[in-house]
Amino acid sequence: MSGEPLLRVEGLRKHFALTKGILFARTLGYIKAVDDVSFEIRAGETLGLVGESGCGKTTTSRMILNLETPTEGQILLEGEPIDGLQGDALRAYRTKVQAVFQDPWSSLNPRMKAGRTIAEALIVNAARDRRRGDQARIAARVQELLLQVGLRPEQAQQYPHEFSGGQRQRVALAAALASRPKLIVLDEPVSALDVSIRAQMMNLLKDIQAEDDVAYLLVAHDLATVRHMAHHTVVMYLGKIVEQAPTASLFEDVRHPYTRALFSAVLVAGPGRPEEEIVLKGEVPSPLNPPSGCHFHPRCPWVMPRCSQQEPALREVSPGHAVACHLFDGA
Amino acid sequence: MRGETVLEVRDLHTHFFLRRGVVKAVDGVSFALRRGEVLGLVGESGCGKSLTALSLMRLLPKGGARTIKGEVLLDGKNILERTPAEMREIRGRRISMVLQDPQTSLNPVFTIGNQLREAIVRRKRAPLIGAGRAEVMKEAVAALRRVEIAAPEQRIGQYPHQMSGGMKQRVVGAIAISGEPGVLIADEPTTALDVTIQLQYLKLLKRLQAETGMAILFITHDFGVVGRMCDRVAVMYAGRIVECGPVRQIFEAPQHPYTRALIASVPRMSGPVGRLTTIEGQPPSLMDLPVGCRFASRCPLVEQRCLDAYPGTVQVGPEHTADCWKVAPS
Repeated sequence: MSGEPLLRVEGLRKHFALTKGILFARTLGYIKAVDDVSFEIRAGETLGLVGESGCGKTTTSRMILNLETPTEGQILLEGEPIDGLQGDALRAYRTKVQAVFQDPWSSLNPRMKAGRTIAEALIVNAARDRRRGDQARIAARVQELLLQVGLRPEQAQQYPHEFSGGQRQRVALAAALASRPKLIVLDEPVSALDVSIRAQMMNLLKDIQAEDDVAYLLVAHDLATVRHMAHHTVVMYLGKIVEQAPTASLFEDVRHPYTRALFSAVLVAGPGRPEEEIVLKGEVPSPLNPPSGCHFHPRCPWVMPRCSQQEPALREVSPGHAVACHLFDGA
Repeated sequence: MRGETVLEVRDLHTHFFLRRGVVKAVDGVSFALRRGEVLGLVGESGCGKSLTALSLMRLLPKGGARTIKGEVLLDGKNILERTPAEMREIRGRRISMVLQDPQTSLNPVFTIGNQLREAIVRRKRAPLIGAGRAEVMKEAVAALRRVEIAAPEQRIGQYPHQMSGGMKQRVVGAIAISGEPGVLIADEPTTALDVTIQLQYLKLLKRLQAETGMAILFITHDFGVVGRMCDRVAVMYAGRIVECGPVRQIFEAPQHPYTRALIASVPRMSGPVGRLTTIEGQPPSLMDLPVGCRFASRCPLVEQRCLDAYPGTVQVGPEHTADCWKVAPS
């Protein structure tokens, strides 16, 4: 727990311009998809990024994957900024940061055998290192990866449609692991899977983390999944971080009203109702025209006059636990 | 809560007849739904829960699906014997359905007012002219207000793409209940919604049910939703209901090994964070079902008799049944 974190995100912003017209395009406004987000991920740890649709969690992960250029702020991997990476440096970055997406149907090429999909990264890397693709070495590594994700080596010869949903997600994971990444972005990795398969995948992800010391950025909307997987949790609402804390302390002591509402909306697998039930009024406002002050104030059950005027800063309320809410200004 | 039975399904078999063979997607399903109750139908993908719902609506997908056996008694009459014309009268007025994805259940090129009015006009057989038109319009606005849509007068002229997912699902709900059906089938209605919106929608459904006394068959794979919504639960596996009982008993004392494993594999919001329980293996192919218990190949308690014959339905408690050789009858 010392020294430079694996990944550092500082003051990250992504604003998408909303334009009208083609030739003489006018900018109507900006959608602040991500607005001043900072966090760190340490080697071998999992950071959970939680929020509802449109909160900016996917845009954040896409910037980390270098698929989207930040409007402002920077991302540092092992202390090195990633903006402006080109050519071999960019390819080297891609070997260190990999991704597994929600839907294994669309992330695997239906016309490529599983073995070839997994080998792809190895072949590209061999070419980058000006080495001839050593067939035997690559084949051995593919076998090893299949075993690591709980598939059989002969399944390298199967096409994606011959796998079940859970198995396809394992193939996608094997492909991500091929280049021995330091960080894997997991964008809703289990939400498309059935309950019993979901548990298998979560166990597998934890085993691989323990074996390979790989860090995960887990983008998820399901809090129970995050609780089981993540060491730290970041909660986002309308492009901003509203609360962040070590997962264990967050689940013990939820502070921000939005996080509390989110927690109370989680339906517990058991009879009866939770003690505290906060049903939020209305829906998430448009990010094109977010509410003044605290973005959450129109839906907040504890709203005060100050909330609509002044934006709350992210403030530490206990070690490692930060909240952006005026309720905790005195704390 | 206890009312008379409004829908009874007896030994329902719906199979797909394909060139490759017969897929026994629904293979002997029986349950009863009472007035004013919510029965959860739970199971993993491919267990036949959605096809059971479509069989009840007599809206089977084209391409070889046929209900070959069984009875579906709606208010005591078997709807499997109805003509297509009679079925059209029944759908929407006696039994109605809400699907998972509101994006696909609404027509993108018509306003939501248009789609709501269609349902109302069909029911009243009112001409869309003169006083009748104003009447229908008023009723459509009232239907939107009933599902808690703000400013319904403005919303009624909007197209589906102008609304959020949660709002679209409310519109679908408004259309489904506009005919005051006695039975509502909700097939994963909140799976596509965010958690805070899901809670709003579930509370709305509960409120509407309290007002109308309709019975709801709630299809879901989410045990959290079951806990919040249902009075009773039926757990489906490989085309059959393997356990059925009051929600409290299913959670606190599940009898079938499949139900037990399924509930144990759900990640919790409290308690220790350890390894999750998993169910090894895959469900059997519906084209080649074993003669014995369908869960036998994955069951930790398997015995020879489980492989030899399908266990009968055992009464394990009041209103609580399980299809397993290893459970003790009460």
